[in-house]
Amino acid sequence: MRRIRLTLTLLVLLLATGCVRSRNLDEYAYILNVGVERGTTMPYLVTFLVSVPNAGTEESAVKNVVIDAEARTLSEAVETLNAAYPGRLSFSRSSLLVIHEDLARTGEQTAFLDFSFGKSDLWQNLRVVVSKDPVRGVFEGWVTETDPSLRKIKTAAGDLASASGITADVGYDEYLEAVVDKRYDAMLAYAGETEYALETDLVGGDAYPYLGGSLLTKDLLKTSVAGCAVFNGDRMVGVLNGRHTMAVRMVTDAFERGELLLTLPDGTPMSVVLYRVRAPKITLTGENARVELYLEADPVSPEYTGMGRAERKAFLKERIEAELDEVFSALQRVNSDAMGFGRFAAMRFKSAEDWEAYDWKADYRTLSVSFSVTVMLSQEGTP
Amino acid sequence: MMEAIRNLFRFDAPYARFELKETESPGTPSFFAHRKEKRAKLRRESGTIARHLEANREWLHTLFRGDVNPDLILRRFLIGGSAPAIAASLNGMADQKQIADFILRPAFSLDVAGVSNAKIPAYFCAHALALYETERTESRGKIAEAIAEGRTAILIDGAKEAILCDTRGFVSRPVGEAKNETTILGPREAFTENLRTNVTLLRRIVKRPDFVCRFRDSGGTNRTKLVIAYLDGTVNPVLLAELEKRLDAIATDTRLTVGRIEQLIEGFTFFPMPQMLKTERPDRAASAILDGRIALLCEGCPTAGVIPVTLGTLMESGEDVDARQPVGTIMRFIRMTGALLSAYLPAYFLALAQHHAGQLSSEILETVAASRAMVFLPLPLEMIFLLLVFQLVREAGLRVPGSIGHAIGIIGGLLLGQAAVSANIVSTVVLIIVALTGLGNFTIPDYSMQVAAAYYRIVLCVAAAMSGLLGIAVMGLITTAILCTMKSFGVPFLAPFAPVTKRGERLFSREKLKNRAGASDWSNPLRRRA
Amino acid sequence: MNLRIGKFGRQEAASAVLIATFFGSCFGADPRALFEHGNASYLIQILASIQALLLFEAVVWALRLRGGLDLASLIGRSRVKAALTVPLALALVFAAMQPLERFLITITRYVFVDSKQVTVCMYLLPCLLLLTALGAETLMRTSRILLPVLLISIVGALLLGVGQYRTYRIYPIPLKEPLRIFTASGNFQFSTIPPLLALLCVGEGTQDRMAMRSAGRIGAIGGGLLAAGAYFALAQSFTYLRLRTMPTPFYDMLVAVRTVNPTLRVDRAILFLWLTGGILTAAFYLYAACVLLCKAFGMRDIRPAAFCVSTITVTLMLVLFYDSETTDGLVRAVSRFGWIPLTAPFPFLLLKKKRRQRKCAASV
Repeated sequence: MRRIRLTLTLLVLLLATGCVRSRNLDEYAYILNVGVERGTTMPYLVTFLVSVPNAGTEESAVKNVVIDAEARTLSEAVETLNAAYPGRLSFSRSSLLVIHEDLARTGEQTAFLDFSFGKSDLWQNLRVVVSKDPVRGVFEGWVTETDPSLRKIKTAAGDLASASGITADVGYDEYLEAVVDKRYDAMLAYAGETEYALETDLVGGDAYPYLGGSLLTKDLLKTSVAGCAVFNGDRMVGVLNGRHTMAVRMVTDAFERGELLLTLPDGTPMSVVLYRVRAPKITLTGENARVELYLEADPVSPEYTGMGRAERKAFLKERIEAELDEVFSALQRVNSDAMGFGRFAAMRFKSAEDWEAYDWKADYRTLSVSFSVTVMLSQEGTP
Repeated sequence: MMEAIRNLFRFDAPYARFELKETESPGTPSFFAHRKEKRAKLRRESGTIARHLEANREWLHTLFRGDVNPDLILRRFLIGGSAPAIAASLNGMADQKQIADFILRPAFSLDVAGVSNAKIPAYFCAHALALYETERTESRGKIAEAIAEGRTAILIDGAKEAILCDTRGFVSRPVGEAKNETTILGPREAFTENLRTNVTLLRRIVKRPDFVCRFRDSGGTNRTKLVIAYLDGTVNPVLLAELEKRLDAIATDTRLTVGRIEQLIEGFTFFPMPQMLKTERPDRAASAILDGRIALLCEGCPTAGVIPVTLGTLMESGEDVDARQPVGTIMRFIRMTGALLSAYLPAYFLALAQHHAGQLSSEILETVAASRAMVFLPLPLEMIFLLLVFQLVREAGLRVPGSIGHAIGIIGGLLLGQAAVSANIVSTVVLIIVALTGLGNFTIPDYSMQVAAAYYRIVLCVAAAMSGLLGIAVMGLITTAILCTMKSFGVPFLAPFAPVTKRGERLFSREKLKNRAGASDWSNPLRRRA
Repeated sequence: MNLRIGKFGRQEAASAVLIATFFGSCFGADPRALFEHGNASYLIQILASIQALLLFEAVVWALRLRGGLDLASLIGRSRVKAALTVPLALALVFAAMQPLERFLITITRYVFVDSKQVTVCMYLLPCLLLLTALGAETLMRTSRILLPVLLISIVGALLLGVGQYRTYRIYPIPLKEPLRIFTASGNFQFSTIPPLLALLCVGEGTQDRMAMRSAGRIGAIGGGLLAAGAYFALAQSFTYLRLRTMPTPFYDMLVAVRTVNPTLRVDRAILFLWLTGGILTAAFYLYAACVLLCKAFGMRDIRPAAFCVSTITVTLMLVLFYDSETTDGLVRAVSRFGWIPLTAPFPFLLLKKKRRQRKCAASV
């Protein structure tokens, strides 16, 4: 009996302390994507893509909504919009953060992000994308007649990165690590919606640029994600197209599979599907770095009999190494260690203080890298 | 009121509780103790009977625990008016009419003049015994076995052999099928209201001479007849003494049933978990008895109470022991998952939906939000309302007899659910969750446990509505702690998992039947599994 | 006298020690101090566990000489000796606060963003009160029941993050100054000693001294290795510069797990499962403190002490939380040097024992 009383008292105590604040889940408006760009009257223009139940399904004509507000911080924008939007805005399902290129080029996004992630229910690991066009346009480019579930769009970007290697798949955590740690520089996916605005990337060249907004398509979603924005610290310093993004991902061990279109010495085009065999081996000694890459190549087209197996291997090795050299030189020019050699520089230190006192970027400028690619041909070209 | 408050803050009252400790077993525990006991048993049951009738009577009296076992009938009579003999049988197992008509009556009228006592068995068999199946034997083991089976043993003074007569005759009242604890593979018969029949049903399964059915009166003015059934020499005597003590303390004028007795003798009255296994199946009670536990039968009650119980025994069904090990394991795993779902699913869903929406995927979130668009009740109230409606339908189905009860269950479930969704009182997702919960609840084999889970689930829902997963975690921890503290007749409720016993048993899977020799060790029986 | 120590076996005691060692180590240490000079937390954890284990063995040896079963029998009952137990009990209270406070920060920062600390504390208090008042037997059995669930959640969480582990993050390994690691492991003992100390306080409930020793060994080694493994996984998930800024690195590690298709996230469920581990740890320490005080001051019932100590702990936690600017120094000092009151009485007791032996020898 005494124990019953004790238990009852404890239960009453528990019940009397009041509830943790809560709301029904249908009273919330779920923000799917968050976008930030430079404002006109306030420092930032914050744009949200808000989920509307049943949007995008066959039986319903409703679409997800894009709303925006100018503010100094994320919470200010939320409060402003809460006053005008039916339903309380919630970040619990947000998984994409879009930063406008203008903001990224000046590094102004850092202050905004520091503030936003301080105390909010924003998921620490949402995917970060840089957009070359206004965020509203980018979001609206996703909300079209072919509007699938928004989650599927978000996962599609990640799948694209792993399946084709032509874009980066970087979460906020990784971006933050790059900015705080300074061991490597961030490389964020690049999005756009303006049609056919070809841009030249850091490396240059006349290859078809797989770049956000610049894809040669007409009928699909207006907004596309391809290529990447390259950073130096928290400032964006350039753009790499899909093919060059693939080269960087090979070195950072983020590459899994990708297709490469090459031109053979006689001018015939050849398509090669590359697969990762094992992690690249990177050795950093003094001012020299050596990168050994292991790739499996599957030349799918065309029927070409002008080269033997060994010649093909040598040709592929040479072309990939040349491309890696080009990309590295372009990155070194803008002082961006997107390939992450700094990660190996840190291994030489036995004390945190020494590492913190060391300026890696100063040495990076003079770093010389030799790439060695081992290509394994999986099969002869099939018709 | 003041007294209640004062009691709450008093710290001086002792609260020592009965605990069945290992050290309370009689004798010194030793490595060879078990072997010694085995030898003694062998001595008792092997060998041949004595010539002296009194010695044989004494032997049977000891073997069948005649002091406490009134079932053993040792009828003295004289064959032909001169040769003293005893007819030994078990009440309820042997047909008394057959004994009277075909053994006693011819014995009285038999003329044994000139026949020596040593030859009487053969003479008696040949000239008087009007029974089809008889057997003469010297073996003590055979005699003990025959009596336990319901045959009658005739022991004659001066004769070195006994006559075993087949007088097996069980009660005439038909025994019905178990209605609430149905199984597919196991036996079907159920206890009846007749105490003697129930004892017979048990005896037909437990055919051991050390099986004791001790009759006694309950306390109180009504003096209801009770039977304490156990294996003497296996069950822990301290546990038996404690049960007797608690039964002695019963002082009530109400009619007693096993359910009421449980409430009068249990240690933890507040917590909804049952502390006695109530079963209507003799095979389940018999298994428990063979496992070193005690069954309690009550006059006029078709249920047996088994003590002590643990969570594992309450979650065990005869079915998964009858099925082969892999199948049994799957069945048990599904049952445990069902039980966990039944307790935690509504609360978990409520916590996620109400406090941690980010943990649900966008699709689920949108589906739930869309299905709730026109529902006016807040989600927690909706959930609790529906859980109560479910209990209502169930209770109504139980109270209405036969097929109408089934109909009420189906109609209540289907129509009410459909109507509630159309009327925007509840949403479809919540309906599905409650239906799943209900299904999970029915996988729990014990009725008292089902009810306990049903109400615990509502408490959890309140906690989840108040503070999401924090509430569930806190409530779960408090419940686990209380379960760990709880004891059923001195045995920790979560044994053999906490505390762990030497011969650990499993909850989610089933052990091999080969390993199930002897009694489980968590009830501290005298003869345990190796 | 009913201090509710009861009887418990080796497995139960080892479970309680293991849980307390893991949660005390992983959720008790202050990340700012731990990662100040780089990340060697996994080495520090192993060293601290070894040191704690050595101390434990020494006390068990002293108990064997004296013939006692628990710490109270070693300390005795005179006033001076009783006074010795007060800093010990206080240190246990502080050790109990550490994991709880870390959980409180996580919950109010990431889960219930709009809620006040006091609201969350009001949910923890009944749990602490009940567990502390129900006694060692319940605590140990609850630990035994929850251990498999907690182990699955810990190992599962570590495995979930495997895709995010990168070896380069563990560098630079601060091996330049080994003395610093040794000092840090000394500070870290505030997380590794209390579980063993608490076990010594309730040693009366174990079957014998050998069972207690073996439970302590299994728990400390198991918990220490598990915690070291978790710290190693953490070191591969975040670099020390980022870890320094994280209030609750292990929760951040859970959140950082990214699956391509996050249909159902489980980070909150795991967090609250771990919270039960934290509460169990705190309750274990608080109960040990209560037993220590009750035995030293001759109290016959655990409940007044349980009520007082739990309430004081929660109140103290709130005070430190709300007045963090002024009390921050105190918390840091206690978590850094708290091991001194924890270990100080033992050399004294051992010395005293030797002197007594010598006296006995002289009188003979």
